[in-house]
Amino acid sequence: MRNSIFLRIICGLAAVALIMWGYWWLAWIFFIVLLFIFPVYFEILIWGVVYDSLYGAALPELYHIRLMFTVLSFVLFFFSLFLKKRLIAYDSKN
Amino acid sequence: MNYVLKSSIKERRSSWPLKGAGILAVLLVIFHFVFPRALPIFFTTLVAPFWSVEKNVRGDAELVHPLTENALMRQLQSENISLKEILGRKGEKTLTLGYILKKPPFSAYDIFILDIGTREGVEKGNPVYALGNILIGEVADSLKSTSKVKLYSSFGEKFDVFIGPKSLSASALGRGGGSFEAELPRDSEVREGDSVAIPAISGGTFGVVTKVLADPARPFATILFSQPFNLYEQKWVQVETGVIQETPTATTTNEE
Repeated sequence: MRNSIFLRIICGLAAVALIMWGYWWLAWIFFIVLLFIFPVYFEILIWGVVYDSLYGAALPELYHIRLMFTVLSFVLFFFSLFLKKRLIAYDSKN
Repeated sequence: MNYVLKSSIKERRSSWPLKGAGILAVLLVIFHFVFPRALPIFFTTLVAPFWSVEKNVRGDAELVHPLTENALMRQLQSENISLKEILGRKGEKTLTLGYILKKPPFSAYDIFILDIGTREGVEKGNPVYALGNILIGEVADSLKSTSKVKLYSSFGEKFDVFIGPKSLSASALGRGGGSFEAELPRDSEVREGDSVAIPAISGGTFGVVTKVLADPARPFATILFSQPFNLYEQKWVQVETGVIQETPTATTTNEE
């Protein structure tokens, strides 16, 4: 558990760096990968909020939705929970 | 060894720090929806110092800015202002220089983030110019020390313009990256290289016609025009404070 929290913190720092200095698509690919690495990666909701707080603007290309990435993070989070339940994956620890 | 489907294993109970952080994340999202300006102020204040590493070169940029460097242009500008004052029309602008902290393609939103905000008198709706007099967009949001600039060339941005030597009225559509398109009757005398200017008393260039697509089968021609520089190569822009831009309009003048 301690390792898991330590890894989450490292990934969190990498996520903040990507939001601040990285390409937006690289950051979001990284978040999607993390959704499947951790069992419940709720941090993606925080990254959605942070992203919209920093860059969010009502633009016609994004249907004038200022909180587009907050909404996207919600959709990704719940879709990943839904998908993970249905993926055929085996656990050898039991 | 037994292999069990992961989906048939009972969920392991997560620890209290994870649960707490999860609840915090949900509360943060709710807070963001209820108070949409509070978190941008908080996070931008935190992040702005990391963005503005090159901010210290501001003084140099002011010195080498083309408008201040070119003596002839300065002279013509002051003459232009004097003539407008004689005729009872004021045309001078109060421009505040802003350094671009972030620009596409790093952010998904087609915006510029500037290092000036309400502290420097920047308000939502202020027109934003590049190279002194080329209108590129308007302030979409202004915080204490930063502001977001919405570009007119953003994909889907629509506004009225006057195009052609006869100043024909048309609706221009942003195509992204400093490009626009508009439709005019095929017989309109618009040619490649025509400069596009803003009809405001302060004047200024808006863009240049780059292509006229006329199909004999169609009654309308598509006019493609772009701004006369690469929008994403800019480091500095000027914000006209004290003016709220409602809808951008532009006229085209034939340079022949």
